[in-house]
Amino acid sequence: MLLLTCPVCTISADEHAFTCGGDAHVTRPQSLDPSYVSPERLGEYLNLVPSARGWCREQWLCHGCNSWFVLLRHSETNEIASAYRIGDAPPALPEGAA
Amino acid sequence: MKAPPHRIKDQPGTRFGRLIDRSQPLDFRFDGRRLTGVAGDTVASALLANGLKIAGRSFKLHRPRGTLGIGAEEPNALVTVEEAGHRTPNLRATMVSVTPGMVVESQNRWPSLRRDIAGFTNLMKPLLPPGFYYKTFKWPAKLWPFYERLIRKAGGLGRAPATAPDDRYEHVHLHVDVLVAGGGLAGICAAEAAAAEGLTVLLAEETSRLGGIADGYDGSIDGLFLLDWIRARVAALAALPNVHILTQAPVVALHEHGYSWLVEKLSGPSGPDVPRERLWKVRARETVVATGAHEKPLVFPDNDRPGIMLATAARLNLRRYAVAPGQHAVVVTSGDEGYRTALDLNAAGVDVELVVDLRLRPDSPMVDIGKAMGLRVSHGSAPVAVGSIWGGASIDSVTVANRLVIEGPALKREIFCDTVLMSGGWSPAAQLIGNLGTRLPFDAALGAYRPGDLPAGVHVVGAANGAFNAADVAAQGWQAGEAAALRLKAGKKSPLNRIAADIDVTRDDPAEPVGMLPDTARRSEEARAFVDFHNDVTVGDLRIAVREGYRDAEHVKRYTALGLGPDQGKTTHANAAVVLAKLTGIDIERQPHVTFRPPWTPISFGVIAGPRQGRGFRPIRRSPIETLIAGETSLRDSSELWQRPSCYPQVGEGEEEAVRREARMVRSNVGVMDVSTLGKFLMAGSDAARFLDLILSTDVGDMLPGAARYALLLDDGGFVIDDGVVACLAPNRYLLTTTTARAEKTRAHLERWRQTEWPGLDVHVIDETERWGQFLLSGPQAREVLETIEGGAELLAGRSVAEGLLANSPARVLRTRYTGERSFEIAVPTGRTPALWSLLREKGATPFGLQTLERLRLEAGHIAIGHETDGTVTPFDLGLGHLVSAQKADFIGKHGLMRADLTRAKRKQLVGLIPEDATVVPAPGTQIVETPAASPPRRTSGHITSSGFSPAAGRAVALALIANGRSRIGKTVTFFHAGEARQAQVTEPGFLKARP
Repeated sequence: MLLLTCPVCTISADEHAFTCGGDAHVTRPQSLDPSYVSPERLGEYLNLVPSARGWCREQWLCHGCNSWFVLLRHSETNEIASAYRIGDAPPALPEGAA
Repeated sequence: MKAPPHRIKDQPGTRFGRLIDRSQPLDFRFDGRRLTGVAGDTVASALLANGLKIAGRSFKLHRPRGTLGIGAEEPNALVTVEEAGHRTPNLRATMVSVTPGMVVESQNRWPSLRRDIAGFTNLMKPLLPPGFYYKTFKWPAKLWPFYERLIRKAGGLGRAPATAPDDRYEHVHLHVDVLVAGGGLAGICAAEAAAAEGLTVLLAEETSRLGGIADGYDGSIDGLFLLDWIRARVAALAALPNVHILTQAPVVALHEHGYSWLVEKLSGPSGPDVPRERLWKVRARETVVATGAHEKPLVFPDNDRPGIMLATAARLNLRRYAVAPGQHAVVVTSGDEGYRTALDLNAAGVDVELVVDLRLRPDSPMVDIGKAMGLRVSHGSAPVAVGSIWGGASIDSVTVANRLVIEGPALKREIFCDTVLMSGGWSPAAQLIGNLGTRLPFDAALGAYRPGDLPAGVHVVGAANGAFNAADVAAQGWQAGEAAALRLKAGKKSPLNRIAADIDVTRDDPAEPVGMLPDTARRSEEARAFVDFHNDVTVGDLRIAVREGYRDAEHVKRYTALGLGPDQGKTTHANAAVVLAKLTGIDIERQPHVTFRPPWTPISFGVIAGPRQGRGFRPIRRSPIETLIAGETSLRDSSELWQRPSCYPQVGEGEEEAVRREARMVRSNVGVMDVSTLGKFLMAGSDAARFLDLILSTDVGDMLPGAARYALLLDDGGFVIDDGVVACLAPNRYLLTTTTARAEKTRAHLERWRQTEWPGLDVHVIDETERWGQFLLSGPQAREVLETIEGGAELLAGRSVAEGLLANSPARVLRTRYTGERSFEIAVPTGRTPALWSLLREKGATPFGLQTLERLRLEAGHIAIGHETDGTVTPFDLGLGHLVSAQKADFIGKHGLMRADLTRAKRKQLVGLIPEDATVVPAPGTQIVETPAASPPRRTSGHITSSGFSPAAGRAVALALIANGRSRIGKTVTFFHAGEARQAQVTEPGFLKARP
């Protein structure tokens, strides 16, 4: 049961008060011609999830203020390094991280 | 023949029987027999006091078993207890206090503990090796159901109670600075050190008393007897305002971020106001694990016989309950612990025939004390066999031999005894650390797993950390309390209040780790040497597993069931590691333990559910006119958390009749349905149309104010996830309605795309779902009804959506056609809904419910999300290709739809079905079968998605998704209904054109 703090409204609460929305910083594949994306790129986008062992950037929704934010979490130890707003420059990974 | 009673005579001033009150005898029943115990007894001690050495039959082999241990590690004595109307199976007899009138039953035996018919299973042991169900009982295959039934009956633990108890369970949340798990010496020291720094501390102890196993040791601290010193420190702790002490409340799980679960068992009768158990959900900034250690059994042939017990458990039985394990004892020990037990037995009047020390040259204070007190000791010896009588129900001798045989046969000696006390050293009970995903390394000197690296904020102290001498235990406890304080007060540099004491308890040498004894055991002996007492796993079973290629602990565990019982292998893991290392030849340090998962001991489902049971299970959401219609109908369907009326049966009408009547009224006259629960989203901003164009498959950008369109929401794969209506209210102001069940998810979907993918767009999404109530007015007379209401005519003037006033209330009217009839969705603020509902009813609209709506839309051939869609269906599959924009450059799902698999020929397509038998309504999910004549498995090509009797068509109709469905229109397909093959004709979806 993670304990998360929303960077937008600053409340700290149990995981229940949030919804996880998968990996952050994933944009829909685009090409020069917006009406076409190669099936390979689309397949990667839809089906291949990084699933890193280590530091992950995940997007979470805060139920309290209805804002999405990004969480930097270590997938093995559940240590939380930081949480930042969408659109903010992502903070650096903690020292010693891969 | 009953053995003589084992309660030691009352000798005032001795250290025996400290917890019992002999002046208060208690009557209880065990397997129908009336027995007497005394106040303070546990079921285990009371049974032993009455000379009953057999407490149960083992799980697989039905071997008679007695109590092995003293607490939660007990693998044998599982009983069913009935008291005050509660019946609970699978309780450890060592953890249950006897109360007057308690009814206790042993388990896993029939007809009785003494004469268990399934005892013959022990003789069948060769037929029951690990994984036997892959090897035996296989032929003939058709007899397997018979074997399975037998095997299921033979196994199992206890019987579940027949009625659900009427108990309350509570959940409580708590935030503390420091959680100390375990109230023994280490835990008490850690708690007082942390509390002295002003931190808030929760000290949680599994049993009903603090002090752990300190009462099994002699010595002094600061000049006071151990127990007196502990009592005084606990009293001081309890008096502090920043310390909370819980007993009968083990920490059952440790999770990340300092989150843990404690299950507190409340003593005393439970009732409507008093919960039976309480689940504490604790957030601690620092956690100290002080959960002690479990004594290791020794592994030798027939080491599971009744009368063979752990040495410290036997000693604690004497000191706590004045119960002796027998009259003639042999103590077998690989460390100093056995000597303490031998001395106590001596003092209690039990003949200690011999102390068998496995060590070749033991040299420690305890050994010297033992010899000085006259104990007969043999070094470098090991037990090699146990003699038993009455089919293994009791032992009468143990054979001991030299461990090291230089030359010639081992010198063997058979010693007559009725109890063997064994001590293989200690195994830290640090499984809670394993909950956090940390692996505990194997400590070869200790012969057990011991915590290594720990995550920040977690400390392990005392026996749980491999420290067994009182001075070390206390020191570690204090240090952990101080360390926790330092971490929490980082920055506040105040000197710590150091706590210390003068501790004088005999120091033990560590026990020598041993595996299977004797070192030269034969295979037949290995087959009777138990490593896991609860699941009946022997050294022989482990050898078979290794021979069959299972070497990793996780594989061996699953193949042999090692450590999988309710005791979770507490007395098993350490011995198993040593035995497996020898069998596999793999270095013991490279033998990882299995994953230690919560809960620490079995907990009840009731306490996990807490208040969330029955009516408290889920919140219930109701429409704003619920009170108005509650008297008219009690039938409700659920859509997520919403409870919606199914239909409004009149007096004497059944549900199906009501649905048909309401449907007919809608088609011939006018009906009204409460659709307040639909999702309603307002989209405003200069990029509102652009945003909707990206979200929906339909074209939105070309809509003028007043226009409304049916729209589909797709996911990035091109699959339909929701449907609704998009309406243009004004330039830069749009309304999107969605289904009830998906309203929350669609809201999250809209926000997610808006905030994470296109944050630069100027658009706001306002959830108006609960702000507006909404009614669906449907039927040929609907327009007329609306026109007779003040403001209605203006709202209907030539547009698909209009906002204005209706009967003096703000309102919005949307034209739709979901039912197949001309319909109007009328939205008014929630507070105005009762008035409008009553008005519409007065105007003659027939109320209809969700079931009727389903029937109407089925007749019209319209899809319902979740019925015709399941996450794998595209708009083209549904025949709704016209709702997919051909001109938009991009929208969610556009690229997905272009994938080869979604455009191939044989996809399932939506069609209508008319069964040949007009009364047969096949259930949704019924498969369309291509080869009905073949024997199963038959080839299928699709399934029925919705079905019902159509009043309009006068017969049963259905919608189905069938491979190549559209090219089969006009042809016949087959499905099975009530076991018989039936035909249906494939048609276009929609059955209104065929109206008679």
